[in-house]
Amino acid sequence: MTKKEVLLEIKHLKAYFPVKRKSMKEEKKVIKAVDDISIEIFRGETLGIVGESGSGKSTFGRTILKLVEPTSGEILYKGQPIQQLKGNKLQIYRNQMQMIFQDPFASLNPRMRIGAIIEEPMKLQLTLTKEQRKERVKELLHKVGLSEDAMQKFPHEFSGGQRQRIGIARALAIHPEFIIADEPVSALDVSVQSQVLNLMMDLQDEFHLTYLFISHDLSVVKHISDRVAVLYLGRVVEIGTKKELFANPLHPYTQALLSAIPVVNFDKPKQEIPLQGELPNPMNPPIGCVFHTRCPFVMERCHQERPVLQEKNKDQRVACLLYD
Amino acid sequence: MEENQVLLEVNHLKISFHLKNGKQAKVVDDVSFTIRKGETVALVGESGSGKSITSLSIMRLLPIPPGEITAGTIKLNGKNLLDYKNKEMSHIRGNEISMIFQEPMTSLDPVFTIGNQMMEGIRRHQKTSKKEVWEKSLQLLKEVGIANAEKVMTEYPHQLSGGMRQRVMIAIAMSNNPQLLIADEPTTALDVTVQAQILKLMMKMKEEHHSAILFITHDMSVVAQTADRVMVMYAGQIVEEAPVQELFLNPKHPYTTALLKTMPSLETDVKRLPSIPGTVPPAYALPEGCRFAPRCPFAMEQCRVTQPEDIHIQGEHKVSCHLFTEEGEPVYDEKRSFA
Repeated sequence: MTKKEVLLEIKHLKAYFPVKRKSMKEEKKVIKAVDDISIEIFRGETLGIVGESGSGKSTFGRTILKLVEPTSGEILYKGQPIQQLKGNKLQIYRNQMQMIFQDPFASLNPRMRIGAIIEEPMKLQLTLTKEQRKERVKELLHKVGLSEDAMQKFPHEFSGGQRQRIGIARALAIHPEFIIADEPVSALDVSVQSQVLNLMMDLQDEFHLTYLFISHDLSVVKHISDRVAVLYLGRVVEIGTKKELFANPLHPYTQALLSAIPVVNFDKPKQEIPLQGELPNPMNPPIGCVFHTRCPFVMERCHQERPVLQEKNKDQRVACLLYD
Repeated sequence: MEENQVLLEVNHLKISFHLKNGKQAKVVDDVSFTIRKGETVALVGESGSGKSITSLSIMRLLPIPPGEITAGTIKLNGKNLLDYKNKEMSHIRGNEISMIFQEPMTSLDPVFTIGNQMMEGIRRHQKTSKKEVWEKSLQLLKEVGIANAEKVMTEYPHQLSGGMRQRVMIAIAMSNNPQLLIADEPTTALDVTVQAQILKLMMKMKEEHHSAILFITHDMSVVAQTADRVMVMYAGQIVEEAPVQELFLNPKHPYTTALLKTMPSLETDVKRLPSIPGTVPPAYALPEGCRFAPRCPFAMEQCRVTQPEDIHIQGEHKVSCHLFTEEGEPVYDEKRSFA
């Protein structure tokens, strides 16, 4: 295998949000939505991010785009730190990245025609004439499998799956390299889900895109990703190639997540690792390993020590004291 | 045998909605099915297939107007629910049939405590003292796995997590030992680990209270784990019905096959997912003939003209599709498939 080029390197990224206090006497609290995440993303790959609601996966995506200001940590894009970027330079950085949102009903302006929606990012960020822009809108619509007359229509005239296609066309409008897709198929019906997933994979091949694919649905993530990172309470508990992670999950949380998915198999009932309770309150995360309150293999040490992500084999890294 | 007694019988149910532009939307069109005592039956379909409207009509919670039940009967223990007056129906609702909804956030009243809402349901149908009802509520909350039940009784819905709220909903639904529990996408809003807990809980409660469940969902893998029998609904009609194993191992209708193939699963590893082209037709502009024909790769001349009839494959396996003869033999080229 050729050496992979690192497109984005994230080092010790933290995003904390202060919580409103009821009185001055109360101590200051923060929600650690993203707590010390270090990940590198290679050019051309799809990195899946999975986790339950409240695990910080969306905040992580937004922090990369600088839609949320990180509390600390570094983001290097092609080796360049982006922290200090301002104005024009930040604009150029953002031009390389686009986002596809979960809710195809809320992410398109209901009062704009489709043509204008897709054209808007080009107006802001590319130097094209009106005719060129119009041509490009047509080309994009064609690419995502919609007809040209969609340009004159409004978002309400389209179904959920079609709107998601429009969202994808808009994201592609300014030739980005990197796309963050935040639950792009969660709101869609199964039969439409596969259409959109296939489209995303086709476009990736055609335009050499890099995806950060955020989802709570492990089956979808398994289908589209090359590597997968599992988030729990703002931390990466396990990261690895899709193949290894799904065949041989190391972290008890990953194991439990995988075993919780219903599968169609009538012959052998699968081994289930039941998890007690729900995600702890992120305002008040457990001391030590964040997972120890729900972990079936909890040890004495887990209550005090916080495990760090360490290499287990060449394809997998895990943050768990069981493998210490 | 008691097990085989029919509990609910829906016969040729037709529901249409009157739209503002004068059009009629046939949301449910000639739907018939039965549920036996103690059975779990899944009703599967995409959004817009009419599955929720069917379940609301069983509860008589359908908004009329704009909705209208134009034909058919819904019989519970042999009595037609559609003949009941509203007051009579309120004895049935929450007592003999109860319902769990998808959104645990919106289906509990935010201004009343959990205890209050639990007791309301029980006191409506059972004549007991307040103290006894309190005790019973407490016990029910413990049954659904809420650890500090005493505290939760005095709390408000916003103080609970999504999973906890759904547990409370199940406790309320089960409080009067209903004969039929309708669960409309009960786990769709929940995380997978919590979903597994709630599904297990529902099955446990069903056993203990001897209820039947009508499980409405779009998730085929949830169906495989819970249901005894499955009905697949498309554009207001039931297109296939079979015992759960039979349906998954031997699906007949192209739509069922497609649903099973298009969902990404942990088991299989494919480069490209097969997909069904197009979308579900809106209920006010249904195609002539078979409603799935415009999206079906096997569609024949006949499919676009006449609506298919139910064909019995074997046992309880029924399919409504022109691709099979009356004996249930396929008449099409099996090599064709979804792109």
